[in-house]
Amino acid sequence: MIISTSDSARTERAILAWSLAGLAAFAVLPWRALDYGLFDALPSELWDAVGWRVADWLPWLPTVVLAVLAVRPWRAAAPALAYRIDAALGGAAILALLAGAKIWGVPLGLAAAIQITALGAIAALAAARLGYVQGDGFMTGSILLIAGLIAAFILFPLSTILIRVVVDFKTGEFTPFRFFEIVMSPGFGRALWNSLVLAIAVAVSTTILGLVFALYATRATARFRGLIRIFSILPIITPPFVVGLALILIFGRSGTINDGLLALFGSGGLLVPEGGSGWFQRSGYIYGFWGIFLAQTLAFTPVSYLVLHGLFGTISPSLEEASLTMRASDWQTLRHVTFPLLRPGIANAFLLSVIESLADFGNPLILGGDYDVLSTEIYFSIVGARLDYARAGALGLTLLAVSLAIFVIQNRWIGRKSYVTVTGKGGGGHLMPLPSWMQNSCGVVVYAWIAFTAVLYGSIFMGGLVANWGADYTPTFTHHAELWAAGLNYGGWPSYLNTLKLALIAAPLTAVLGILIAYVTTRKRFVGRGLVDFGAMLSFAIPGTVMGVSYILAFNVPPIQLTGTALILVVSFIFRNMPVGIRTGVSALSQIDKSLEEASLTQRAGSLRTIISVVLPLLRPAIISASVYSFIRAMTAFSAVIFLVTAQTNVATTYILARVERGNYGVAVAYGSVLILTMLIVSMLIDHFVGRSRVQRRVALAGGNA
Amino acid sequence: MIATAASVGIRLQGVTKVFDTNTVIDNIDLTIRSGSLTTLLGPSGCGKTTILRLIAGLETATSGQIWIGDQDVTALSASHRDVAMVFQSYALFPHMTVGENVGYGLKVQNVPRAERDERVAKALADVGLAGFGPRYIDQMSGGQQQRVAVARALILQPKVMLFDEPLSNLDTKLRRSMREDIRELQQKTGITSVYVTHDQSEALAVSDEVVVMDAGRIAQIGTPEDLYRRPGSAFVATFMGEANILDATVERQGATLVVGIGGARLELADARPGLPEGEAQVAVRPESIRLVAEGRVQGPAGTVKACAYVGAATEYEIECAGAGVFAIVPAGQPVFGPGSRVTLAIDPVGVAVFAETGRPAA
Repeated sequence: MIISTSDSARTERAILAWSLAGLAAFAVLPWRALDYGLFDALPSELWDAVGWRVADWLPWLPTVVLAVLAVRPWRAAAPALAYRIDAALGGAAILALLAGAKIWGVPLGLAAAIQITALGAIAALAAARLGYVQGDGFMTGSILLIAGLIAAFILFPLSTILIRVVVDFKTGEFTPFRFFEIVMSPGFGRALWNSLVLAIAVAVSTTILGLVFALYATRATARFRGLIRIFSILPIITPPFVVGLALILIFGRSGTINDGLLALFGSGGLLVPEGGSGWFQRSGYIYGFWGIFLAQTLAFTPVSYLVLHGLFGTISPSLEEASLTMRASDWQTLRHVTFPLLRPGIANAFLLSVIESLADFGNPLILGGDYDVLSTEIYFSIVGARLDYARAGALGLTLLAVSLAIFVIQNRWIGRKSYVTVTGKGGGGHLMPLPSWMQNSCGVVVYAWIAFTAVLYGSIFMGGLVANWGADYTPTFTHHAELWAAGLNYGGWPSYLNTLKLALIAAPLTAVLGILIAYVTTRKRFVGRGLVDFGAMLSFAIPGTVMGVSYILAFNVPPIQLTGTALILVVSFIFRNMPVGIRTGVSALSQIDKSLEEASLTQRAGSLRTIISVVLPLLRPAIISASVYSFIRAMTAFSAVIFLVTAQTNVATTYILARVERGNYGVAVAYGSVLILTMLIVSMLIDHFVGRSRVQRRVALAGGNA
Repeated sequence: MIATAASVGIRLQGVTKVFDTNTVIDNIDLTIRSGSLTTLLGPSGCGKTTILRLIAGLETATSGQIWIGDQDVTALSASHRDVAMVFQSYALFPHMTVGENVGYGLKVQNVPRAERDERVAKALADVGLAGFGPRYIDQMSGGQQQRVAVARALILQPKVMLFDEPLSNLDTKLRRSMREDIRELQQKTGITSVYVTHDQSEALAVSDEVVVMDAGRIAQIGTPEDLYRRPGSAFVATFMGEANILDATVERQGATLVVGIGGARLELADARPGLPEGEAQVAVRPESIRLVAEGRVQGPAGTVKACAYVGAATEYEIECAGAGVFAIVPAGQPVFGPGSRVTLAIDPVGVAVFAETGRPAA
């Protein structure tokens, strides 16, 4: 095999540069993790954590390997052999380091992370020279990085849950039947049953409502479109349990409806005869199944609407026109042509809603009452004094298995069973209007929904502006003053600023990682793609509570010790929201003709250059929208974060929850309304400034040419 | 074909490409002469584009080796192979101007700005687009985009030029003039070129040599005339233009073959060794068939099933001894309506005997 010499020289220079970077990190940066995190450590603590000052031989292991790699005593050997040695040595050193840190309990710090990166980069460069991923060093490195991150932050944490279930924590005994004991224990079956019943009920209602909305939006009236935009954006920017809070304000024990009914029918009510005892008492009917059902229906209908709306757009009007020319009536056409075409989409929307409902934690937590579901059971297993990680783990694995199974069905079975083909021959024909009785009944549902949503959001904003909702409706700013007027170190500010900071750090990283994963999985063929695909799929299906539990179990001991730091929050934001980046990336990449990149490669640009000059400019809108969306999701993150925050790293949602738990609804909704406003403003600003650029239009054009 | 000092050949040795479990290229050996324009021709799915992409480095061979000149490029990535490619979709960068597109490769090589501008201007002039540099791609017509793509490929003076169905997005008239332009540029530069197409007339018009492919294997290699006049198989005969595959008897008589088709005896000058004798199938080109009223000459008799007037000729479908025969008769000859009994008069020039039997092209 002849390997061109100039390329070899370049690879050797890169290997040398990475080795030196790893050695430099050893010399000056903290090699051990610091107890209080990198930014809160004292200079003396930093200095004591530097690799060669740590009284331990482990830091020397990667350092010696890197030193050897810098020299490359085998450089004179045949290139194929020499590169095999580089790749094997780099990979083996990483594995040995991680195993050593795990066995001897050494928490790895910044320098260790840099050394692992350097060893990985060297292995990737060498593997590329051996022909891996079409001989592409940058791509090989990216794939290795992605695989490493997925292994470290998705697969490894999940494996610790499994281990915690089957191995006794205190005695180290192997307990293979523990899982079944927990499953058979009281409460477990009920929680599973409750979760499934709730999920199916919610999925039925959201799918029907989503269908009604999609029908009405595509076929009824153009006036509706502006409203629809707000409607589809609201649930995204609303923190997960704020809709639940609003429901409590309206329907709760001292909510508006109870008060109203009490005023009419209660003891001494307007419609009750003088001296009568009344027919109505205060009731907590909203707590339990119906409360969660209502909150989740409100929260997830937009998702199912978006899925179905997207599908409606791809049905060619000519199919309906063909049916109409064959003397079918409007209704017959809908029934025999349009709905069957929609069937895969309906199934899709249904299954997505099931997954969302199973994973939802916020609404069951505050509205559940004694209606236990899996996600809340997980939380209650380890919160407070109970601290039963094995039970939490077993519940988590069950929840994960159910949502993963549904996700696989949704992805593999429905995904392929789509009848819709995009021919690119658009322009002809009009969608058929709905039969008038249908249009009218859809309209009633849609406007009733909008009115209801308006009342709910109104109550969130008003609730923060009155003294005590349900008892004293005097307008007041005291709640907002308590949150925002006591200085930056008090009230709502610390958690608000902390959330903002962490979300801003996480958002671009999420977008870039997600889009990179989308890029390598859709555009490249390589050994190990199965693992990356599987990890990406897990990240789609993994419920937040399961992730939270797995993170505390995995990251409060070496080698990766992150519990209590702000870093673990950032990491959880990134891997929780990664699917957003992946989805955006996949759909944006499908618009970009692959031959554009190939043209760049044959123009002698390497893959890094190709990505910078060709792919990134064309993906810019996708990167921005993925960043915005990840930012918003990080701001409203709750289900995983609740397991990971500390008093120092409190975030907005957990602060609000603490206020709810203290019965402090006024302050809670005041904070919630500020959060909603923040995100509304951010997303509208971005929408305004980014919009549809000239580049984007040309991308569409290039896609059309292909 | 001008083999300049710089031009190099391409060699594929035992190349196989498997996607998942699907063998797309099956152990192919192929040598492409330096300085030639070689066409890979075949129906869709035959593997011709995969071969092109393997040469470009956009796919990795499952096994086998690829050589460009005396360098084994099997493990090299596309950006290190010194090839240039013109894509079916042109693959022009939509976010760059015409000039930026053409100058992209130079910019990647860090060629100084002044030299770059000069070379871009010259490359654009070479393809007849002088002055179009500042335009964006979406302001160019399809034919102009095609020229930009060619200019971009030529500007790096690559060792190998690859064309992936470059004309398939153009209308018929433009296609004809573009293919002549491409041929002329290739002759002028002498760069070894590989050209993929499924259109046999395009292949015949531009190539020095044509490689006909079928289901991942090479069916036949030859000059355009070779392939048309002396197809090696029923597949090649029917894919290279239209052909009737008829049962016949073949007899060797010295330097000639005598082919008997339904009573007619045709003498063929082609008597290569290896051709079958006795009962065999032969290919008869539709334009070498004349129709005469039944009984006027010796030959296969049949009934006209349908005839269609297409301007320069009349096309006939004739039922002849249970088989359908297609004939193209130039205007000016007597016309026979459906139901007429006719005898086929076959010109031996349009008859080919082939060594391999097998299925004809669909």
